[in-house]
Amino acid sequence: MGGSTVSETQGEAGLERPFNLIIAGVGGQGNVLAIRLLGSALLAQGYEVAVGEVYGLAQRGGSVASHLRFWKGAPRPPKVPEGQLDILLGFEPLEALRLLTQYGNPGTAVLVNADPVLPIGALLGKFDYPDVSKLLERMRGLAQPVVTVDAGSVSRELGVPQAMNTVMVGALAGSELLPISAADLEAQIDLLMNERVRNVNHEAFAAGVRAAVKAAD
Amino acid sequence: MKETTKNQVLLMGNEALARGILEGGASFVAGYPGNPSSEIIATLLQTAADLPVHVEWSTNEMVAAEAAAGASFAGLRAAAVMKENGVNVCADFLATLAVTGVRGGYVVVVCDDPGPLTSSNEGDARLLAQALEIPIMEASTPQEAKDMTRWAFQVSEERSTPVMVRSVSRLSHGRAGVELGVIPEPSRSAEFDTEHPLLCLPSVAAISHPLAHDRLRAVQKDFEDSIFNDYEGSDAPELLVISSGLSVLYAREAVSTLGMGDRVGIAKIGTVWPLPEGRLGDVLRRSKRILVVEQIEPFLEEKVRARHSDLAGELGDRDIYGRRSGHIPETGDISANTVADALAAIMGGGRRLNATFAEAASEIKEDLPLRDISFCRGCPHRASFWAIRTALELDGRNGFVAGDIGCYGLAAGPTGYQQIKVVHCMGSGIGNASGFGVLRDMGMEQPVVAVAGDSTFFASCLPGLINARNNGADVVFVVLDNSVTAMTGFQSHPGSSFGPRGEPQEPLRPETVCRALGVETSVYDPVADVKRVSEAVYDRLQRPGVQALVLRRTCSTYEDRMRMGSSAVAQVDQEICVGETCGCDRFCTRVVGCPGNRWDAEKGKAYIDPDFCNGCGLCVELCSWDAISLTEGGE
Amino acid sequence: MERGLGRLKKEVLSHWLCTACGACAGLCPYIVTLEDRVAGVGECRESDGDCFRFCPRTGPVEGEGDSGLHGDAGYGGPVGSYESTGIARSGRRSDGFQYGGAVTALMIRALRDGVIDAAVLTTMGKTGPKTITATTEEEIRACAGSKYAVAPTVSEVNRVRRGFGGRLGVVALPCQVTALRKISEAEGQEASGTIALIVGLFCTWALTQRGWGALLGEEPGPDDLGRVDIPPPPADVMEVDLRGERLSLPLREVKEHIRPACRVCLDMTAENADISVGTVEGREGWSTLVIRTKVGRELVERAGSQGDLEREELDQERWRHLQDASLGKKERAIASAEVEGDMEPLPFLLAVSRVKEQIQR
Repeated sequence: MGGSTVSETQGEAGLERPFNLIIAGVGGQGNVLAIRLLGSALLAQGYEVAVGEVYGLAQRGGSVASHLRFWKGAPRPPKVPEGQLDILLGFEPLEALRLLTQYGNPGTAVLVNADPVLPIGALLGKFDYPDVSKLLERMRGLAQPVVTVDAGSVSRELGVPQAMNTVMVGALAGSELLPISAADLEAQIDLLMNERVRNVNHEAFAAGVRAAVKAAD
Repeated sequence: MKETTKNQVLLMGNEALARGILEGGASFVAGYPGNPSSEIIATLLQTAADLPVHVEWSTNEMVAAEAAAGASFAGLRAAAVMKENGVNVCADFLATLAVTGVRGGYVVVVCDDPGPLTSSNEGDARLLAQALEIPIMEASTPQEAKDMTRWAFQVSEERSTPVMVRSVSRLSHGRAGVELGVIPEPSRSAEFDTEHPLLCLPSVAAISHPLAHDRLRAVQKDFEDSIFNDYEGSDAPELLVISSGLSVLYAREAVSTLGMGDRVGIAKIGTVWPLPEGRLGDVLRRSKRILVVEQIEPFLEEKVRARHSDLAGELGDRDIYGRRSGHIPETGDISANTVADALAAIMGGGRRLNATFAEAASEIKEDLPLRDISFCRGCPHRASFWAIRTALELDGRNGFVAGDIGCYGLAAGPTGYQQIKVVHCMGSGIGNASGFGVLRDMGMEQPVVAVAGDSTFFASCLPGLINARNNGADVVFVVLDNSVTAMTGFQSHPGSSFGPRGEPQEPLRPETVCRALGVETSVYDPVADVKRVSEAVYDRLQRPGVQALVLRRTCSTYEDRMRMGSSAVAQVDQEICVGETCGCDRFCTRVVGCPGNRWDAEKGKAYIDPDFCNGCGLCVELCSWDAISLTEGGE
Repeated sequence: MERGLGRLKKEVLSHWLCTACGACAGLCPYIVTLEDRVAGVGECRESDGDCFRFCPRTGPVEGEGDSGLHGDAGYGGPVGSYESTGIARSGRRSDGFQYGGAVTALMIRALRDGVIDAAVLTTMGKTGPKTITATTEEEIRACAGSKYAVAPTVSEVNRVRRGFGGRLGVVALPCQVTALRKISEAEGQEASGTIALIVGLFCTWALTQRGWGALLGEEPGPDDLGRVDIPPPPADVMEVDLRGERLSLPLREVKEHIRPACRVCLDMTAENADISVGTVEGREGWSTLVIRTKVGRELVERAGSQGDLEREELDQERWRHLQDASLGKKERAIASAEVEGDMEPLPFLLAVSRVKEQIQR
């Protein structure tokens, strides 16, 4: 993926219209930390940043969407306006498609971890979880490009399934969709995370970057 | 909190409010966990640990307000922190506090929940503030939340009145860059001036009320010059937006998206009540068309209409749009697009929508299965409600459960087998049951089970329990004791074994309290003893009067966080598992419904995800084929 | 048509007319028992379930003609079908044998002769009757005596059948007997845990377990209740030995605690058993026997020839009285079913009402 998306849609110097990103996932997948990594990195680069989240019931298996916007200018609300989503980072395929229908447009770039997390309704046999390939197909019918990142397997291979979120952030860095360098983004790991988990998150980040580069080929 | 190159920190609104409380010079902060406000005190507990500031989770919001007021009466600055419903809870005290006035600056920080996103009702604290005669300010950004709170202490202390600062969920949980200020050195000594008692009594009420109004008038004057009221746009725009709080940002974004910056002006009101009338009059002069954008109720809108009515002779007509006119929806959360659509309806033009995308998207969206929330894997409430459900079925008299707010409130839904049939506010379950339980002479044949969590028990259940006992109500009262205030983030409460900063604490036991009230109480582990619990509940349903059960087992998610609990995981013996055939029909995965317990459609057998399983053993107890067992394993 | 838990709940299990025999329980996790209650918890999607099949109040298997099942499952005369009658008493007398001990003697004989490998019987538990599986004579003897309350006996049978390779004998009440006969016919002779012998007890009604507590002012423990007796009219009482003290409870009060399911029961003499056993009025220590099948006949004959049982003829007057009493119960059931069926047209109530056409006095 090229690095020109931002400047194409936003214009050269100012980001008149905020750049909008959403992380779509399920409670417990690490949305919060991921969005903080991104938000802090952008703030450090001098952008105005707004991050929006909904807490409370997410832990109990519900959908979680974290909004991130950056621009230059007066304060803006944290919620991404419907139809103005630039990047969708999907931690879970069903939630990714859901958020895409709510906020997307044909130019939304999608990076999705295609590992499903079954809703309790599917576990109770009320319905079958939809076919993941169909979910991806529907995403592709709405927006382009849609790139899958096998973040689940990568993080499991590293022995830390909880670091899936960092793999995805790495993949976003590797896709060069954001106007910040992978190094600047990675630096936030040391600033925001506990010493205990920094090393493994650096590994996860690097693995994510590699996965994105591979997907682009 | 880490610094950045721009000298700004990416702070959540609640973190900014916490910082504002410190910068405002508070020495005492109290509250009760309630989304979206919980992070304020949680942050202070951590960051103010080395400061001479007392921070506590009080038993409930009423006590929090009263305790904080004690500090204020002793001349210190104090804050009470709560969600909107918390103001309902402490309304009686706040109303009387407004009558006596305060000493040290006293700020109530309230977080409303438009939507509602996670609350049970969509309340607007500004209406209450007015009813309680307490001035209220509303913040738009995290920066402003901090700065406004700091100022609120000053106003409160100068005018001797409590002051409310209001936030909403998306502001409280949203993050933006904040430039920090200075936390003042502590300089006061606590002392209560006994020469000037603070009395809200009938004997002085007639004098106190007008004095309270004088204080409000003084605050209103302060508000006239406040920097938190502002205007952006041309001198005489075609349309004037009047807005407060986060809605200001929605308005600004909408105007920008539609490119109407030269036609639409935005008047920002930060000091919402008492509204500075001079300022409002100036604003009303700017345009003949006015759109009021706010959340949740048309509070400002009605004030704008009233003020216009006062000035109509001078100003002439105005077209005032908002909720009354239907341009802003009556209920529910709004966004920049809501405002953009309202602007377009009034001014013409509109958002450029990609109609093809919208159509395709809405078709797909309808098909997407919803993600119901459920009890976590290993949650003891699953076992408790399984036992209660079984007991009620065995009893056969169409009995039901009256409950209240907390994780266990999810039992109104499929994850708790839809057992809870009545839910209102904290403590209302036992209160309602106290009424249900005396209706036998009026034909009531159904038995009632009241459930409450441990935190709720101490916060709100005691008067209801005493009432049930005193009136001889037939109630089975079940206290679900998982050690923490779980739903709001695992905070400590009087029944926890750890204090607010994680220090060991001697827990107050619900059964001790129940027995002291003369209520027979038994204690069980709901998971390990799930069958005995269902027998016990059945037994108690046959007995008259109040019978109590305490079901005690630590929250499984809290256990994981603290790396407590067993390392065991459950395992399904694939040979024994009967699967979909008669005699099982996927009982464990499909009916009991723990998310760690999965179904392999290819093999036609149940299995446990070992990474997810908490090792609680409920599935082991309930599988009637004994196909599931616990094994030591995992890291 | 769906014949699983959903329909079972709809027609029987969720209603007052469930007898708590336990036939549907012990087969799967969805149906639980406690004291004298049986309930379905959760929804099972099985469309052809044993629970529905074995229930005594879901009627005989549809589409078949006279299934040969009587009692609550069909009408076959005032006391159902039988080969012969008689009276008997235990060849050995000792305390604790309320009505002649004939049942105990028969079960011990069956165990000794290898007709059965284990006996499923009811004893008194801590809070009421409890069903156990006995494999020795001592265990069988410990279960003697009428209980006037019920336990979900057939659920224990289901539980034992699962892993047991031998043959079972069961002593049961009429509702339970009907279920046992359905199970026995469904599984055939070769299946494990074959129900080889069904001894039924005469029953007019039973009290709820908690009802005992209400009547006595306390919940009787396992050794508290001795003889329980209803003397013939004009006496209007129930006599109870409570820890040696003889209490006289007004029958009117006692009847307030009769289980609702009993009010619509057609079966006084356990019409689907191999042998049905009841009292002999006026002859203390003796039991009335109604022998219905080859299995029953052979066992009674051996018990007689081995000296376990002393046998005599059942006189005509008592025989007529027995038939009258049995028909009386059917007629009361029909009357109740008509009234209740008007309010709740449950299939079982309608079936009971229809028996009216078949009765010829």
